[in-house]
Amino acid sequence: MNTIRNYINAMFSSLPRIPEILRLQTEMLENMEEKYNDLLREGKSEAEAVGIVLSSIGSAEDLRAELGISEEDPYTQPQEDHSAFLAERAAFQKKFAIAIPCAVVLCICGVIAGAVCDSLTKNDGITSIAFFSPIAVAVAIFIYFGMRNDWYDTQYKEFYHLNGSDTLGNQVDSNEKTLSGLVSSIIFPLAVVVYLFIGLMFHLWHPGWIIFLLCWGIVASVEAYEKYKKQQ
Amino acid sequence: MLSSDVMRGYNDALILSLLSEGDSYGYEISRSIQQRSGGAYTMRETTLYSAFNRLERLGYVSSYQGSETFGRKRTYYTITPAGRAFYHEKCEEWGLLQQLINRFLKEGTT
Repeated sequence: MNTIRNYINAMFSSLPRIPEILRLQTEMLENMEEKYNDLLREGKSEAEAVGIVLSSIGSAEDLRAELGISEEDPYTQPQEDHSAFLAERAAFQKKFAIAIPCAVVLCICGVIAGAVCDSLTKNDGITSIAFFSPIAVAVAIFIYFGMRNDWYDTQYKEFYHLNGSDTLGNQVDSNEKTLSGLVSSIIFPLAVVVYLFIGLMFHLWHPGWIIFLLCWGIVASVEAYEKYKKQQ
Repeated sequence: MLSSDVMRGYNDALILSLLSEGDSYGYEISRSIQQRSGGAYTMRETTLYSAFNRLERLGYVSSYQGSETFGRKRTYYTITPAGRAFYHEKCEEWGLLQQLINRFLKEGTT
């Protein structure tokens, strides 16, 4: 009976998992079991009964043809989206290539402005504003473009996967990258901002550094959680 | 042994004819078809169950869960009025088709 069950399950494995088809599968399994038991009762050997049942079922191609499901359907649709998406991604990458150097320049500007203000005014408030505001803008750019970039990357991998040239393992990897990668891409720039802010405004450089340990702990636990989920 | 190609247009009608005699389920219908045809035609299981699926979608049959001796659930089918109407159409069509084919194919005339 296991042979029959395996055959039917294998036959249905290539079909979409919609309730209608799952019901068909259950129904077929039930009825084939009854047929098999009937054949045994008639005095057929187990091997004979399995043979008779299997030969009466038909093939996966038959089933597909009967249900009117074509094999290409799930593949043609994403291919169209694919080209539009690739164009969008290329446009984004151009912006990305400009935005990141701009943010780096802003960081340098902040340091210079802070130093200039410090030597001119000796006013901590103005110095920290001059130092902090360009860096805040830079951090916002890093976070925004970092997240967009991650999104385009995962989306690209998904399309690639749908075209059948990627393995399931790679898909899991890309998911992992998005979750903990996303957390660390937001949390570390934010930590830098907070650290600079409390350092410059309240001179809390000394206990302030603990924030980095905290962030590292958060990212490590997200990674641990992901690994645990992956194992299940 | 008749090929499934020849039977294609009439599988649904065979199932409906059996259901018009009373509610039934997959295995029983498949067994009845085999017995009544004297072993000349065995409907493939894939054909049978996808036919149920199609007939139900078209509203020609409806299904319900019945309990059975072994305590297992079993899907029973019952013919609907729309199914009966379709069956009668098929019967008329078959009459015409038979006459038509008979006008051409006569054994011994070649």
